[in-house]
Amino acid sequence: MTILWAGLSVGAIYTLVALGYNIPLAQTGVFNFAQGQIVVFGTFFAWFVMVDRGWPWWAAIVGGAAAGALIAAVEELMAIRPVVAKGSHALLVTTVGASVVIEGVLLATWGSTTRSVNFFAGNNAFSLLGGRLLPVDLWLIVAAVVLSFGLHAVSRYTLWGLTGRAATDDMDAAIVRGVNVARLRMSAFTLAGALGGAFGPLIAPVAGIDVSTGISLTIYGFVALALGGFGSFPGCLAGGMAIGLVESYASRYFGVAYPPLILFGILILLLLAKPTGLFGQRGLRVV
Amino acid sequence: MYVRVRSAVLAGPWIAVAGTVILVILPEIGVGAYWQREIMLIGVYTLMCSGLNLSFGYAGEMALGQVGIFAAGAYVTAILYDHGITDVLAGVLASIALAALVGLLSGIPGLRLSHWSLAIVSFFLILIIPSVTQILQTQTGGLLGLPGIIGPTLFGQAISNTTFYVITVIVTAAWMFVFRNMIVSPFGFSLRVLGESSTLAESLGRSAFRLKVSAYVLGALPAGIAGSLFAYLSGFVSPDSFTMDVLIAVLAATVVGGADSVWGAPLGAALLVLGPLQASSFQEYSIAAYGIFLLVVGVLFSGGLVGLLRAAGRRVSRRIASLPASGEHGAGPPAAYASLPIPGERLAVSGVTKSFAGLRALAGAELVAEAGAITAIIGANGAGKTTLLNTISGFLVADAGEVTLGDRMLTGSKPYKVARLGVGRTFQTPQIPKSMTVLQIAESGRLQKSGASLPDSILRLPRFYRARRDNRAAALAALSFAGLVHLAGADAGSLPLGTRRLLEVARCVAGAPNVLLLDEPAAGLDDDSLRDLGSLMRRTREAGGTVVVVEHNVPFVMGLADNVFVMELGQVIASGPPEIVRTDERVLDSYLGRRHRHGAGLTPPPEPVQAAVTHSLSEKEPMA
Repeated sequence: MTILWAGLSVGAIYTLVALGYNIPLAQTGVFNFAQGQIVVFGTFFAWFVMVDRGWPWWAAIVGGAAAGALIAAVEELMAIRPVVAKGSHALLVTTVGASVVIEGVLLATWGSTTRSVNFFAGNNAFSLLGGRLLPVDLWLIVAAVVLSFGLHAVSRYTLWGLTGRAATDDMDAAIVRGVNVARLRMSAFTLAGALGGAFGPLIAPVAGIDVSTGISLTIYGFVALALGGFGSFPGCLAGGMAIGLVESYASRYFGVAYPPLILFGILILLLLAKPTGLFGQRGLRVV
Repeated sequence: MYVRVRSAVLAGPWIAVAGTVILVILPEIGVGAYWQREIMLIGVYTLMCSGLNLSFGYAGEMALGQVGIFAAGAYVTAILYDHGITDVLAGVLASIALAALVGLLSGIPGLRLSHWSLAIVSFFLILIIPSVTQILQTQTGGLLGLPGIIGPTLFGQAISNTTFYVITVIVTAAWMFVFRNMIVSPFGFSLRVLGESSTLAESLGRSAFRLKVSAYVLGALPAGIAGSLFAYLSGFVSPDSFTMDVLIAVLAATVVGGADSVWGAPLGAALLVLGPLQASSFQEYSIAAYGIFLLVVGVLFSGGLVGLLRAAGRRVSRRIASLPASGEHGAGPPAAYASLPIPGERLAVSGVTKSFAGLRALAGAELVAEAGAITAIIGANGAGKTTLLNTISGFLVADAGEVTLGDRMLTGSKPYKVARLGVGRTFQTPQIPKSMTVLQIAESGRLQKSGASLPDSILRLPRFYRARRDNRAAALAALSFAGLVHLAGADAGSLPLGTRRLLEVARCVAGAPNVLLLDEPAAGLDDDSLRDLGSLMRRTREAGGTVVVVEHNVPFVMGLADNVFVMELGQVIASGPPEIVRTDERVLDSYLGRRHRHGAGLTPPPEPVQAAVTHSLSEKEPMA
């Protein structure tokens, strides 16, 4: 059971990354490769606010959300808007570029040494349903569940979600119906960036604060998204948790070298056998 | 004159040969170990970048597995060395073999995916490198790596550092020679066509999947070679050498140099090794700088540095020689190109049905098109005309019925096989790759001809030159049919819509297919272009071709066609020469939008209406 809790806790982090991918994807059909690095930025920012400055944890969450939103908005303006018409080939180059810029700036400003943040709501392990876990694990799992279903509701039942789904389905048709697609994309990026930046105080105690985690978060977040299904928010939760569990159990029973190989195999098989994932929408499979 | 000199200088590989010779003799004139090492590193990165050019730049696939392959090449070389096989040639050959194997294994599942999935899968390869080395720890040394790969041999003789330098330069140059010949060949054309649209590649007789896999596997080979050379060069192999940062650096170098150009690879590699990024004061910002390069190049100039140079070169050459963009093929009497026999054959469609989820788009369509004749298919929107064309050319699979061309069965074959069986086609929206010239586009119409194979092209055997001569002659003849010869050297991307349509038909004609399927070639054409299109179709008929045209511009086809088939609701309701069809009652009903007139016992339309419809079907003006 302890392994299960550990898996769910890590899975919650992948879920948060996948949700950040899914917001712009579901709203405007754009895949933002840099989301993983924005999450890494959030962990550094949590260290900066809570350890370096000594400010309270909620300042790190609010400030992280604002800073993440700002980064994503700048990315949208500089890396997405000018090339979105050129298609996904150009977007690959520019969003990878944006991701590398964030990584490079983090490296240059906060160095490559590992830092750490203590969880703000206690570090005493406790038992739940026969397994040991830390308070931060429970917070992460709750946050992932609440956000997944909250965003699902937003996507289903608000006008913003409806126009987004329309724009993803057929952008030209949405434009002639009066949807401001550029503004829609900007709002989606800002929301995803805020989400990516806000959870630093929760993610940092589990994942650590290190630039090199960026690539794993980027890739495993994508695997979570692919497994759950492109476009589906509850799918992000299912996919993220499944990957966390695979990683946790495979490390325990085979060794720490095996989870990446196993997940790679799962990703390949999944994309070949069921490219829409568990809950995905048909139209988004071109991702 | 100027153009000829310039093209002789640029087209010939002489600069590259001279450059290689200079690099080889550098140690003789006192260039020391430091610079030899820098040049070898440039060679290693050149190999990796050019591999990325093939799959990413030309074929347009986001397959970025270069670093994984690079690691495989380095490790196999190091492991062989540890087992006493220290020969450079053995190491390089083993790396090539392993690269081909890994490329094939990771490429086939990977390329069934597309876009982002493919990119992420290839990024994922990097994450599993440390895992694999740990699991195979006894061979690979795990996370610590394999040290001491020092002093390789060649044919049993120990070689000096300088000899190894010469080997590296020659191997890199040899690959660049192969790479350049691959790109400037029918294979290279196919890749560019594929990068534009896989549908187009299939319609020109090339299997999109096989092209993607070959581009990816061929692009893997130089990465494997690079890994092998890198292992000897650094003397030490560990997972730390194969990280995401290396992939980002190689991607940045490729894109900055110019992803869709041959010489962008060495240019980007040189910038990577010698450029400002390596200055020590800059190092902590180097990652951010790579990112900024990717952003700037991606947003501002997608052709990279070579693209900028090319554009500048064109501007300069135009100003100096004040020549039109038509270049060397602009002159010469059109009569010189006028012969292009087109071996038309009889196309027969019988009983073809096709349903889309309950909607019967084709309900037993029957059609025969004879050689040396223009056969028109007309009918209202939704009558099934384009569905019929797509079924003939293999893009849709018929539920029942059969299609034959001559005595060959077309039904059930994939589009690229149908194209090879002699079916050429055009599309409602012209599919014209932007980065090619008009002449190259016309030549690409002949990709389905098995003229020169890839080995012929790489080695530049006589068969390659013969095929190129034939293809060029046929392309020029087809362009002259369409009155486009004066545009032969122009960039296809700059053409207006009407010219692009004509060019697409000309590309189809250049392939001299046994049947030509034209899907609404007259849509949106002005009077001049309509006249050119008409004469192109007539000359194709005179050359013996079987021309099948789907068209909404009824007056235009009525004046041109030998035979007209009228479709309604997936069936042919009338056929025959234009003057017969024109007065057929069912046709008039179909165009008036009334059905089952006789069955339902409705009265015929008043006389003036019928006269107006007859008039519109015969007059040479577009119908609404």
